[in-house]
Amino acid sequence: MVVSSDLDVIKRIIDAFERSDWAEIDVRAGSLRIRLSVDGDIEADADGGVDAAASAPRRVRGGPDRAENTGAPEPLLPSDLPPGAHLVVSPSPGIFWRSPQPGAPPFASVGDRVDPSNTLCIVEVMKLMTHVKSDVAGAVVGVFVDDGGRVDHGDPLFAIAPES
Amino acid sequence: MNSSTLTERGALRRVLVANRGEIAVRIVRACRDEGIEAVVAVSDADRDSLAARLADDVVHIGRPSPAESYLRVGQIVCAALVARCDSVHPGYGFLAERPELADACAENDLVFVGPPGGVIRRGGDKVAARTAARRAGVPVGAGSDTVATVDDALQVAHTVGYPVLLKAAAGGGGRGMARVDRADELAARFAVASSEAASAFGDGRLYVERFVANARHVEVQLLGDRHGTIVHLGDRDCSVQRRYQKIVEEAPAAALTAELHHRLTDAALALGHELGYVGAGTVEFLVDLDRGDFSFLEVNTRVQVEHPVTEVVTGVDIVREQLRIAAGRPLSFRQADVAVRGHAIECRINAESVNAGFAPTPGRIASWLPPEGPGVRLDSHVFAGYDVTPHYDSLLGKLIVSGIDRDAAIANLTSALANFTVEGVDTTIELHRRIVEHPDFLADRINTTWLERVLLRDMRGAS
Repeated sequence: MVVSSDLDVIKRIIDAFERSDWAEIDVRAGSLRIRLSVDGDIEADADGGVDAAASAPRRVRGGPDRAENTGAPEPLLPSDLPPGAHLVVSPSPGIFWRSPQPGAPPFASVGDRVDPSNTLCIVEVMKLMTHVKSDVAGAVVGVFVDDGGRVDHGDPLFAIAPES
Repeated sequence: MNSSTLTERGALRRVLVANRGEIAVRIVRACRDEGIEAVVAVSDADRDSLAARLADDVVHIGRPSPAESYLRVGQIVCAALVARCDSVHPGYGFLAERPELADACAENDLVFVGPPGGVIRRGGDKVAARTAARRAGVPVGAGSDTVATVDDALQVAHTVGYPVLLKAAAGGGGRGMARVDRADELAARFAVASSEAASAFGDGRLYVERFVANARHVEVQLLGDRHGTIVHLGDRDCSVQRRYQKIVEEAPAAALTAELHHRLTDAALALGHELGYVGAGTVEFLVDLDRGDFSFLEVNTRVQVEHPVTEVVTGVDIVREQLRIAAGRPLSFRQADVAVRGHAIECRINAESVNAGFAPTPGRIASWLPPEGPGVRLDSHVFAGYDVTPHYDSLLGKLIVSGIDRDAAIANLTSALANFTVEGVDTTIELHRRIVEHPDFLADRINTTWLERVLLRDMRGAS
């Protein structure tokens, strides 16, 4: 429950939010979590509300939630790989990004035809962005990592069915 | 929380530290020294950070990616409100030089520990700052204001003479910057620099500057209060650079004549007054060793990574002064009180593999055994067991060593570097050992291209 001493803080945050062009805010201090988004969701909870809020649907303008925008039930296990598929692996440890910037469409999705000139994803390590390209021409048949996921050197990222 | 109560009390009560890493630790400590509570904003990757452990309170602001936490103005402002802070310290990097954060703080009765949004706009835009410098009578490097097209750039380059630098109007940190040696290279470099600037700063505008081959990067530290007083804390030499990233910084800039020191500090003060500067800031210059003159480069409207060397030689705590200035108090000293004593050198210790082209090396710190002793200061957030995440920059800490003069500082630094052991990730410690023992560095015969042109080439040749 929200106690009265929190109400002043909540009111200031709602005022700040209404004056701004922010799509969503979501902050947690101790047991108090406040989440607002432009679609009208308002949540403030002072005990144990974190899980409920976290599982609530998130629909936000512009969307800071990258995973949503890249869509598709794509990540799969390397063991599901079709026979003959070629694996594209991570060149370094880092963060896996499927699109050039938040909200943009992914570089490559399952079913897309790619060749060695195409960027498949970016692996970011400490501000250094490496564009990972396919080593072969073919069709994307698998994506193994969620957008924003952490990868290690040699982790499989994409499976490509080479053109014969 | 309004400014009148602040002025009556003359102090901030509770500061949100909107940053991470070593600077977050630095700000928490300064708050403690000032008797102010510090709340640290942390992403999911920084929940167990040293700053979080030292702070009075912690606010979670989102996922590790900076775009989903430290770079979101709304998250920072609401974090300050939810934690009942009266002020926000942005540190360096992230939102520190984004006027939007300063503006949003002002709109929500939060004190921004830094210059007002208007000053950040005038000082931070490189082209606007060049204009202000000219108005203040400060020499500006030969070159242009914004060039719209490759043809415009070619024309300017032809006038000032090759080689030239293309630089981002909104830029900094070497991004959106390219050296062009010949006219036939310009079009390609222009396209790359412009798109790099657009992606790094959301602004692809470029300008052209004459490239100075034998140059030192020297900067002057300013502090201005809200009552119109601006003082300088002397200069720093940051000429040891790789790809425009500073690696070693020193105070004072020992290679300059007394006359050049004065001309630089006078120029910095003149520009500070022209901008109506408030808070801690730095005016950067390129000193042309062959011509014995200098030109204005840019203004940094924040505390800088290398501020400790100035603190060590002046005894002024720059971060504590920032907190006092933000509360509306006058500076605690006058220009006449500032004296530079001795010499200080800072080495940036990064998690990078020098032999692998400076590739970042995230991973777990297995052991962390820093040097100690008189004249040795370490600003760091790292401890044994710390996980160096791939999400942020590679700075592990700054080793700052001093002595009564430059030679004594180097001797002390040599021994400190010999006693610095880190296991678990590759670091730049060995590179620093090679720098401080090199005859060119010992004789202070270096310039901004020395590290890449001489030392790194020597190291590659030897291996």
